[in-house]
Amino acid sequence: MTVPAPELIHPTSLHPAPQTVRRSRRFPAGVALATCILAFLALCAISPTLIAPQDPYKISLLHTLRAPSLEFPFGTDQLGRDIFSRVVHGASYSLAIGLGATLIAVISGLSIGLVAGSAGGVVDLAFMRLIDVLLAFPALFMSMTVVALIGTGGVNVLIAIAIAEIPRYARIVRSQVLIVRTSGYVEAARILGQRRWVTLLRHILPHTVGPLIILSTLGIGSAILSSAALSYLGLGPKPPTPEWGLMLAEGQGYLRKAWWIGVFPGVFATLTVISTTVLGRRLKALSDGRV
Amino acid sequence: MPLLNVENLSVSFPGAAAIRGLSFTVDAGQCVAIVGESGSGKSVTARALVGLAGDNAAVSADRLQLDGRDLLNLSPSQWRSVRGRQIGFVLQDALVSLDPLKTVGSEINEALIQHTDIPRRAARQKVLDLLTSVGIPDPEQRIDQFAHQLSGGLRQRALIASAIAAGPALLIADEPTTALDVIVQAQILSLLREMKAKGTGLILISHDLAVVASLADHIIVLKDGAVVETGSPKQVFSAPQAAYTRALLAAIPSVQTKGPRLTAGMDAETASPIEQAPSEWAALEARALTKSYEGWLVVDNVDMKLQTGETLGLVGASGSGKTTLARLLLALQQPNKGKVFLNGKPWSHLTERQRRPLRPRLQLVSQDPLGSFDPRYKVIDILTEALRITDLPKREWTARATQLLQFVGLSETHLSRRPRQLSGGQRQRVAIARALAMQPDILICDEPVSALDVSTQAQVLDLLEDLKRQFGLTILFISHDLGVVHHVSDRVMVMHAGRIVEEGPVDTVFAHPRDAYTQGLLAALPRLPSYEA
Repeated sequence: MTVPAPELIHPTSLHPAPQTVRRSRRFPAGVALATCILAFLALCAISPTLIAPQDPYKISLLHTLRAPSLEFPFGTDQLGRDIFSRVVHGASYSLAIGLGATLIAVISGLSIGLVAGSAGGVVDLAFMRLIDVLLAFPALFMSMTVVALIGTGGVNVLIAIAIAEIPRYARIVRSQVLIVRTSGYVEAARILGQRRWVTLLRHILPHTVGPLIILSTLGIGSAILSSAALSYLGLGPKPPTPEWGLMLAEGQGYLRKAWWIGVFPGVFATLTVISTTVLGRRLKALSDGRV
Repeated sequence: MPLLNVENLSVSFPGAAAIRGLSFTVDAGQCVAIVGESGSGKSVTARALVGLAGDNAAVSADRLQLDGRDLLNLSPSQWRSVRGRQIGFVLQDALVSLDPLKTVGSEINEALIQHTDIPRRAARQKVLDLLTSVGIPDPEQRIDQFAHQLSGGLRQRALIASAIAAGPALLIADEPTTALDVIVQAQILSLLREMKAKGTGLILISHDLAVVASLADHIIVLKDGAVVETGSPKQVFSAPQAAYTRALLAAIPSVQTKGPRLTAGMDAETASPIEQAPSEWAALEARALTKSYEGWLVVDNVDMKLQTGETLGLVGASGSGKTTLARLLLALQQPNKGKVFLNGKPWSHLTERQRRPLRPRLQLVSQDPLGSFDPRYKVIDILTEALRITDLPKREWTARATQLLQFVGLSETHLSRRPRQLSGGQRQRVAIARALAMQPDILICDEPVSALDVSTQAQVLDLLEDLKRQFGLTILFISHDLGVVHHVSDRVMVMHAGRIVEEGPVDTVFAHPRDAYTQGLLAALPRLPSYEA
């Protein structure tokens, strides 16, 4: 167009945020705590015996339903198994399902979004209607349906959760592609005679990665929650696997007699989800330039 | 007593002085023009005069008086009563300055209610009078319209109407016509002239000496926050004292400056110009090109030929269809009717796959180079992206990129910079370097200098001229600026409402325009006054 760039001083350039305020808020306590919690959980998942040397499967009828004590920090369940040890060992299941499902969902969503956004036309329409169908069902219901079709078990739960999570990633990638596709630099590449897929890889893909990383960090939390929910409903790993959702379900019957059986796995699941969410929000704020 | 008396005004921001030691007075019915390039401090001056310099700005002056009243130590609420009531403020971009959710009438009404004690019942009539006085046709209809329903010129008038609603004695206009095309610009300037004649004091801020020439009684030239020249228009234009003012005046491309270089002291490459073999085919030809959007004819049956080796200027006001024509020629959009031929061969009716190998032949230099660079890229990445498409071996990319930067007057040190770290002129040079990397035959320049300061503009125009001779380029030069087009072009086409209304050798068209629209366009062109020495 023929309108010269405005030369007015932008209001924000007249009021730069004071540096001191920024510095003190660079690493808030909540983010530090969330990072510590996730680091601890990662350690639990990688090397559970280091933290909880007790065998999570060992049944001891001498020690059934013990309240938390020095010997059993989180108490024992109805079969005398050490809850602390089971919670620590359970971290690997939850994190594996959370990370695995999110990874599958991100890769599938990225592919669908890239293809739909850059192809346009009928391809776009077809993919997006498919995504709309997936979105029409609540995520948990969708996962349950998938499990009902492909059967229960850890890997199947992972796949079921991934499928339910695909739409959110596909949609954000597609919208990002649509923005970048009409940008001046993609047009410039076209004028140079650049091939379409090269433009896609060099210009469009890198610009979708940022928002995707943020969204997927938030997604890990909800995937962990979904896996716990599916296990709770008996669709996930089978007993005696020390999986948090399954432990919650097992503890439910003893809630009045021995609250610790259900509460500790629940607390761990909740802390994990909150921590990933805090971290995800922080990443989002950083990328928006809000901090 | 002067209306406004400013003595030794200084504004500084943490770490940088924006304006130092500025003194001037404005009398009723007088116009003081403050001229300078971006970053010279002219907008900061305007904002300081209405108490809007910003929270972290330190404003100091020996004297700052409006009509005898001291403005230096006003509280924010006192400033509010001064702004609008005693000083009207008109900004460059009327679309941003007008509330999108309010009708023009209620916008002006608000200023009236706040600053005068006019009864509400009488206010509407007063608003209508104001709209009429700024030359808005059909005020009865326009009063209930929103900003986006008005054209750029009408918006600017509405903004002026709201600025003068309370009858301020002083009006400050910061680049009031920069976003407008020449015809509308001439109308706004004559409106300001009328207000001046009625006794309003005027401070006109602009980067364009030609714009202020006809209106100003006194001109202040700013550079880097300091006054480099001050005096009457006659003094400034006929006997400029400062070297900077002289350079600024020489840099303005106009009807008078055809041919010679605009920047002094920068010699042209002595490379012998490439002789063009006369070609049977036009480098680029459009036949009966038509494009419409939603029933709106943007390009209407355009026939044009771009001859090999020439520079063809395309002028027209904003909205005349110039950019759409350029996009059709570049085959970025498909015409509804008509065809484009490149060197006599099909171009617009190829598939994109067939066209891709030919694309390097035809390159674009756009108005917004920043937007054409991937924000993640450094200059080296931008250039190697282009070189990757050529068949140059990879090991020679860096050397070639350096050479390209040298062609456009940059150096190896710029390779590692990001576009945002470069100035507007440097960015445009990088964009030109990228286009040259493809070794094109034709360069389509769409408003390549309209976002640039006049001295930067002069450098880029000279650069294009040098490159044209050095590489034997054929150029289609699109601009709304008649002076620029006249300076660079061999032939010129005038576009109006999607049609080419006039075409011919540039001197003929400028000296003897046949078409009424071209005549109007030329008449509206602000000119530097020529004083007999």
